Amino acid sequence: MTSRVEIEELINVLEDIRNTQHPDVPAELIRNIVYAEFEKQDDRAQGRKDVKKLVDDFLKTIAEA
Amino acid sequence: MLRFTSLTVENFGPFKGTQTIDFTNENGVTIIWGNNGRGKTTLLNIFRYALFGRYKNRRGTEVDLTTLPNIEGRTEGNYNFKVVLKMINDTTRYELTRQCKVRQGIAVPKNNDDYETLVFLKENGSVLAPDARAHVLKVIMPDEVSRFFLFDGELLQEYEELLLEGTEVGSKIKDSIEKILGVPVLTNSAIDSQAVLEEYRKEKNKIAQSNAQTQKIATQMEGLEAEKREQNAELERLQGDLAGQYEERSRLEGDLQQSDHVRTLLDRMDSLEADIATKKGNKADILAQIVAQTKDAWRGLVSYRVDSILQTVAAELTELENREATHAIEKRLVDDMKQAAHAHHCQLCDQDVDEHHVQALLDRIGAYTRGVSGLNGEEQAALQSLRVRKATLESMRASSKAEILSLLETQLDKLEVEIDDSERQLKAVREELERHGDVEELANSTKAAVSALAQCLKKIENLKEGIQLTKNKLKEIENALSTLEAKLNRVSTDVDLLRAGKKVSVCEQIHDIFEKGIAAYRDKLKTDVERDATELFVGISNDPDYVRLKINDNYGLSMVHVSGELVPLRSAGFEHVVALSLIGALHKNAPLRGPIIMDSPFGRLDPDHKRNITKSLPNMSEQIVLLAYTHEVDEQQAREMLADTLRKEYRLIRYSSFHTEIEAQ
Repeated sequence: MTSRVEIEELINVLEDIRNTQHPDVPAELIRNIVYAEFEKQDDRAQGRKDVKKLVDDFLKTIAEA
Repeated sequence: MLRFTSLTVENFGPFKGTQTIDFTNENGVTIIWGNNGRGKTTLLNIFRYALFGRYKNRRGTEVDLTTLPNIEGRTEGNYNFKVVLKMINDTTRYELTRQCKVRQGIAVPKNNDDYETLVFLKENGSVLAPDARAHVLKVIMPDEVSRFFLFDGELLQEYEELLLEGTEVGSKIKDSIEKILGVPVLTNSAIDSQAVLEEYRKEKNKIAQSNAQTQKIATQMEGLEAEKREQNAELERLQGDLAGQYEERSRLEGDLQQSDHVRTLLDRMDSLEADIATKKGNKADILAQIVAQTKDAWRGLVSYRVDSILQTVAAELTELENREATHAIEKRLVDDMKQAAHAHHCQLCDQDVDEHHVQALLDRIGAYTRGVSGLNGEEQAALQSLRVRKATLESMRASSKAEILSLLETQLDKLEVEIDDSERQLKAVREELERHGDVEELANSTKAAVSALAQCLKKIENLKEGIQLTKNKLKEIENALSTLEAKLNRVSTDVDLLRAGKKVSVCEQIHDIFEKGIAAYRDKLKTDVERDATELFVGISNDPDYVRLKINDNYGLSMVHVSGELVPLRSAGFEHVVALSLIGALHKNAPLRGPIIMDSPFGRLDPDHKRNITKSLPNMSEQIVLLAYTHEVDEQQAREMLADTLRKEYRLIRYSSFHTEIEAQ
């Protein structure tokens, strides 16, 4: 697969926005969503499922908190 | 990054038998030299065929598999052909095989159905299942961005379309640019995070509906959400229809472009037919005028005799009329004298006349009466007769109709020549049209295509309007939902509802990060692509006054003069330079990295630009494969320019018209 290093530029742009405007959203969650979408560009349905799971898993931690 | 390590062709195109090009695993340039007809473009197409399973000709039409095996191989009974592309992506090795074999029982393949296509992709030595193979190929080399990796120098001019708004080609290139730069990763993230957000909103609404305190607001919100879903579905339908109409427009424009010559001929035929009809109408008018004029043509024939008689009649008439006039004057004088003698008073001088003068008057009256006599009856009749004859003769005199007739005849002659010319041209046009098919059918199909395009353009306008109206409606719904959401948050005290609200809030934030990220990333890309393209451009351009490139929203690049002015019209050569600079900059900024294989990219460039581009090749991508005809660039100079970055050289050697061998240099 294409190296994750190659989408770091894209992630850095999101990180700036996250850090300044939505610091409560974890950087790792945004990064993982980008990776999921990057790797599933040819399978949009699976990409959406992966994103949903990532968000669900994170929100579970809020509910449990 | 993706790198090609070798390409093996077997009985494919001009390449007879099995032949292999080994690319190095190191960064640098490979040059494949070959004269026209030796298979450079075929090699580029073989790369495409290996990766995407399609082989297209220069006009973009997919070719029949039966045309792809080597001709000499075919004469020896070998109709099978194969390509094996070995690649390495980061540390993973791939071996892609695409092989076309004639089906069992078929001696000579007649069409594609007579072939069986076998595709294998090995990943680190293991053959992947078809789904995994398709996935890997789409990830390492998506078809949509292949134009930046495998390109024909002749097509570089297409990039100028990026400077224009609303062109189909420009729009497609822009989409490909965004794809290679990774923008769809963000747009997909935004779309999917929005979908997740909607689900959490539904969940929150369900909890709110079960609570008496918030039920009313939640029900209102549910209604609005349903309306929003409907509007979104409508928006999706309209956007789908619009995309379909864009494709249809592209197809119709392509068809019309292909039949451009026929359309020109048909227009010419219509124009000539209309012209001939008009001229024939004019000819009929002129003929009618000539007929009217020639009705009196006999007058010309008798005019000399009429003039002669008329002179005699006029002389006789004048004499009689003079006599009649003289008699009338004298009669009036006698009458006055008679009146004066009778009344002894002259009315003319208002004086009385004495007897002496009365007698004198009577003497003079006697003398006049005896000396002057009027016309007699015969002369009166002759006078009347002469007057009638004179009038008749005058009406018989020919007016100057000869001049008018002459003018009309000149016009008629000119028109007849013009009609003959036009009819000859029409015949030639019809004959040429008949070579393309039945003229009537051609005219009907062309008219139908033009009409279909007009309808398609109308539909596009209507769909755009519909999309805007739906978007406006969605915005209204969103605003109403936001108001209700705020109200719900204010009144809710239920723990579950508060927790659901918090989840929605987090989802909104996630979605907001991606939505804002799209615009921010696009801005960053434009800045970076502009900077990197400028760096390449300045290195290639031989005009020091062109100091930089300026990017627009479509990623189109304009040249900027040292004065700050944008260069309005650039030459085909500079178009090449700008396009190559853009491609190099895209490779520098793309998450997807790979080799560039370019076929004859120096076509319209002067030696300075060729030299500068050659020097810049290693800066465009880590792996460059250059397909060049002999002397397209100076070979020795290219070796000096590229120095250590020139990794391999091959030459396409002619063995026969249908047999090329790839030989390492």
